[in-house]
Amino acid sequence: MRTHIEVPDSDTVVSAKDVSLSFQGNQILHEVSLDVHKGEVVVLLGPSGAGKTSFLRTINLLNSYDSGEIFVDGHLMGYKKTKSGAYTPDSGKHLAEQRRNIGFVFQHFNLFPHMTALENVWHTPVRILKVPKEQAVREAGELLALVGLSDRKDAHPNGLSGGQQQRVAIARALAMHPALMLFDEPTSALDPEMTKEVLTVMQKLAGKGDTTMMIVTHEIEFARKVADRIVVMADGRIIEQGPTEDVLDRPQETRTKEFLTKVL
Amino acid sequence: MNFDWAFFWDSLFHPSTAYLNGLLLTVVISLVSMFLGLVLGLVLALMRLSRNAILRCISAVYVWVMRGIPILVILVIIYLGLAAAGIYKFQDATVLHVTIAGSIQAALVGLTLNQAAYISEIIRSSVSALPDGQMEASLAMGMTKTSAMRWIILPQAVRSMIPPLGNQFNQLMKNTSLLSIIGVSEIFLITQSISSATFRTFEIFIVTGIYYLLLTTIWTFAQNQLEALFNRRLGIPTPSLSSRIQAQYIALMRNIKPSAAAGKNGASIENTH
Ligand SMILES: Nc1ncnc2c1ncn2[C@@H]1O[C@H](COP(=O)(O)OP(=O)(O)OP(=O)(O)O)[C@@H](O)[C@H]1O
Ligand SMILES: [Mg+2]
Repeated sequence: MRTHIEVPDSDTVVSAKDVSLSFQGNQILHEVSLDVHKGEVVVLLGPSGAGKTSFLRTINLLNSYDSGEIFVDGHLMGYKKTKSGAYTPDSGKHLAEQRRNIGFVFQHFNLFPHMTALENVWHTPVRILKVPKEQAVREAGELLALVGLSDRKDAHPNGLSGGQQQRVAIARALAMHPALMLFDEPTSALDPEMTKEVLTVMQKLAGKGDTTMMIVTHEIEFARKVADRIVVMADGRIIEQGPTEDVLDRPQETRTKEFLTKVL
Repeated sequence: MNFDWAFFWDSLFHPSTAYLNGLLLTVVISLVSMFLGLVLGLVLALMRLSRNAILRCISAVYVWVMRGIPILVILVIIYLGLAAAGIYKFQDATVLHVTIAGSIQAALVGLTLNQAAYISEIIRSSVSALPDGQMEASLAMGMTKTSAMRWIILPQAVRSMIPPLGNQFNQLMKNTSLLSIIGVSEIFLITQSISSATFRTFEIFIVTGIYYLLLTTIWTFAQNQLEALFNRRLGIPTPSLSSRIQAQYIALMRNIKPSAAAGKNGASIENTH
């Protein structure tokens, strides 16, 4: 049970406060705090093992965290607000409902292989949100068009290239109309050609300006194009953050400089 | 050699009504206990996979006990043992104008309890073998664990369950011959009675062997069709018969498990020809 929690204002889509996480006694995140505003595109950079994946997964509670608070779209993740205004833990149906508001794009796509591309996109809206099937299928078709895959809508995932699978995965996440999209190295399992097609789709999405996005990537040139803000992590902490050009061109921290020289 | 060919052909191609009824009973008992075993097996598997330690424990103990006791012993305990101890006696019962003998009810119960243990292990291992990413993606889409099981995990696990479940059913059809011990007039018991009436033991048991072989062969074809159906649903091309035979041959030459070779080499062999 938690009381006296300050709810962030409605413009703040993500509000993480002092989030700590450990796995088997190893502390992975050290009191990480970060606010992301509506429509903002934040790119997370940092060396391997910095905790970038862990942080993204903690936001939608694929990892449960040890201490701190995570608000997404005004809701304290993993808690249910009671009438008295206190928060009680809820990891079942309520958490599932909260997660519907967050799209997650995985490094290895994780499409549902027993469904066609189109079905992957309409499945959850129809089966879980009970959207009328006709409407959901139409919308799924539009989303596949958005990611440039209208002609492959009846293919199964294992008949698609990695880049195509990742674009279906993006469409699948968008079908839930999430307030927030999380991307964990969406292109690092792809070769350069396919990387380009996925980044183009993400850039289009970022350009529309109404999707709040947090992106972990090693593609610095892409980050420069889409990011409103760069956040640099190392050893489970945010070591530096600021407007894209400032961080990329005039980094303050030694470790940011080291990291940038390595990836550029 | 004393082999009555006329009797043999006659028994094979013009089996008596009693014989055909025995065959039918074998098939019906197999199908019903397989179906009930699937239901109970699924429940046991879900218990085993749940977060509740008590449910996991009950399921584990059940499977341990049922796999550790011969089905013959279980059948005798259920039908004869319970009655002898005055605990429960299976009586003939009429359901929808069909009278089901007490021994058949006991047989269905025994086979179901036994099948469920093996089936739950098959379901559990197929589910565990799926990559973690499938459950994670389902949760990330906002499904509960139950919905994820229903829509994402089980439908995929079914594909890898079919071969071992098929073997299980094959085994079950053959194991129904054990029901003769509690007096179920399935095909084995009928054969025994023909044998003692005619003294043509060799001939009639060969006929029965052929009928069992026929049943298991038909099932093998049905199982292949099922596998192909699920492959189509997953968009996996089913290797052609010739490429599968080649894979089997190569596997034999290399002395490895054919199914593994068929899975890995089936498609590539097809390409090179
Ligand atoms: N499930 C887990 N169990 C134990 N340790 C874990 C687990 N997941 C991550 N870690 C550890 O947490 C640390 C941070 O990992 P994380 O994957 O978040 O880093 P990352 O910044 O995403 O790195 P990369 O760029 O390599 O993806 C690492 O030391 C990793 O070994
Ligand atoms: Mg990572």
